[in-house]
Amino acid sequence: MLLYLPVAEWPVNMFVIFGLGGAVGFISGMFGVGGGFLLTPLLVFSGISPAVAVATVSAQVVASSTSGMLAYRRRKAIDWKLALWLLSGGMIGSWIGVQVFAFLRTLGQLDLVIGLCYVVFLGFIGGFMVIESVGAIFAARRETTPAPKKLREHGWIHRLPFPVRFPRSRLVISALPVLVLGAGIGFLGTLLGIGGGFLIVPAMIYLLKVPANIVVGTSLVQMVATMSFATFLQAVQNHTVDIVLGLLLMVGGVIGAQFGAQIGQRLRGEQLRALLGLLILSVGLRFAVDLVVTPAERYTVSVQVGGTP
Amino acid sequence: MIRRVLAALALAVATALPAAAETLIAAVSAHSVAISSTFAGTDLTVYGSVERDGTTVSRASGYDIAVMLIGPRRTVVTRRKDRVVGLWVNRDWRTYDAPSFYAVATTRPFAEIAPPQVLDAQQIGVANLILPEGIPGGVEVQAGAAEFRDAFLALQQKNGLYAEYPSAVRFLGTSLFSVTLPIPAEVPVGRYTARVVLLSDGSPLAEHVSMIEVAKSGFEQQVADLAAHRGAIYGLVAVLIALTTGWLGGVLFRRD
Repeated sequence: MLLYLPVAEWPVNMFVIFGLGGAVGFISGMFGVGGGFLLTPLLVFSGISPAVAVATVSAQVVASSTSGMLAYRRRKAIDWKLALWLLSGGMIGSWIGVQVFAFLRTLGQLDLVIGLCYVVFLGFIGGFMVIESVGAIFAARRETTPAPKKLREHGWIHRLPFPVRFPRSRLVISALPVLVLGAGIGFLGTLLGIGGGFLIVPAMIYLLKVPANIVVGTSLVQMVATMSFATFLQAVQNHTVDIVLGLLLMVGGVIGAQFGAQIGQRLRGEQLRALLGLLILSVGLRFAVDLVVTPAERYTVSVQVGGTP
Repeated sequence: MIRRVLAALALAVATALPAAAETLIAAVSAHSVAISSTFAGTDLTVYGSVERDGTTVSRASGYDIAVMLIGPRRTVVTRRKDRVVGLWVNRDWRTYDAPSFYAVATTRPFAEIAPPQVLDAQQIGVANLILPEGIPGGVEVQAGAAEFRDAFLALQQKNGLYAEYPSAVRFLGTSLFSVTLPIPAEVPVGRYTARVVLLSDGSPLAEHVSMIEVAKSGFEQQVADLAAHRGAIYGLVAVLIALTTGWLGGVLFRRD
């Protein structure tokens, strides 16, 4: 059934978009990630302009992160103070992201920058996850438990000025890396149309040394707030949020996530990480191929935005 | 480019003046196309008749009709990817002040109807469209532009925004004619003109122009208006919908 999207000005098959949201929701429920890094490229491949895809997926990330955040809130697995610091940085990053987004769009280089960022970040994180989890799987086979890492190990990040106490995480760290991390994720999330869960969770564990049981809930609070802000800014400045498209993706995603979560519970942690790593890596590679291989069509046509093309 | 436009205009005036006593009457099946949420494209029928009176000279070659449906002009950018340190990157570009939609239907293949200058002046055929061109730096250069122009026209045809239907206009008897033009679901919104040109023996004799409004309707229009003119309210509503959907999902599928 064809449905005409009012802001994207593009007719789509309702069930295809609904299914797309459901499939990505399934994956996001299975691995506990937002799935924006899959959804944005898939929407672009189905004919929706990158500007609308990126802005609309930020609204979808709000919805998918909210249900997760509420579950973690019931378990009291959220460090609200840390979340507040992260999202303050996140909003600044998000604001910069919207400005850069609009600027790149007028330059005609938005797809290049999005492509390069996907290659670099997805390739790096995906590769790291695959190597780490395959190592863990082999270590488990040999039944030799790896030497437990000292979680309270204090690196250079913990010697920076302006220390702040985060009682829930039993952590005293400088405000600077927290703000910078929040801003960085907010910036990339807004620019690339991703929540950034797969970036912020490892960063919080390895860089800030936040306890693992608090990381996911806290990062979800940060994502809900930052992506809400990003949605609002995109609507005000770029007018590219398509709420009809967003709602289809949200409903499909929320339903798909329930089935994904059930499958996810049956798999072991390192198996999940290996699969997710492969998935992230392959999306990154897909973008790398697009950048390197001679395109079938070298020309593109777009309606002029802003003053200079 | 300006010289070309002026020459085309002069030719149009010169060829239109000695119009004979034929009168062209034409109408369109709808003066507005409403894009609703289930809009999947539509058809537009253009019909009319060639009226003659006793003093009209008889024409051995008969009549030809060209029907054009032309969308509002927009500035579009055509970009070309070039290889830069191993990566395919958008480099060179041209802008065109071009109709957002263009469909043309005729009684016979274009080349048989009129000589190239007349097709050019009457804007019959995608290849004959007059497209004012903008280039990087703003300096007008003619060389190399054909490559961009051809790529632009080919892409517009591939996307269904430009279309040619030679021999699609049918004469019912000697004076009545009609043609049905498909309007795709991707049609841009705005004010369209439907132009009907009567030709004989390679010369235009008369023309008729009607206006057609293509607009979003109902819910589609309200959402688009809100998004375009009340960005802050629209943004807040979008965030609220996202939060509510997420919250509802969490409540309905609560697992713990």
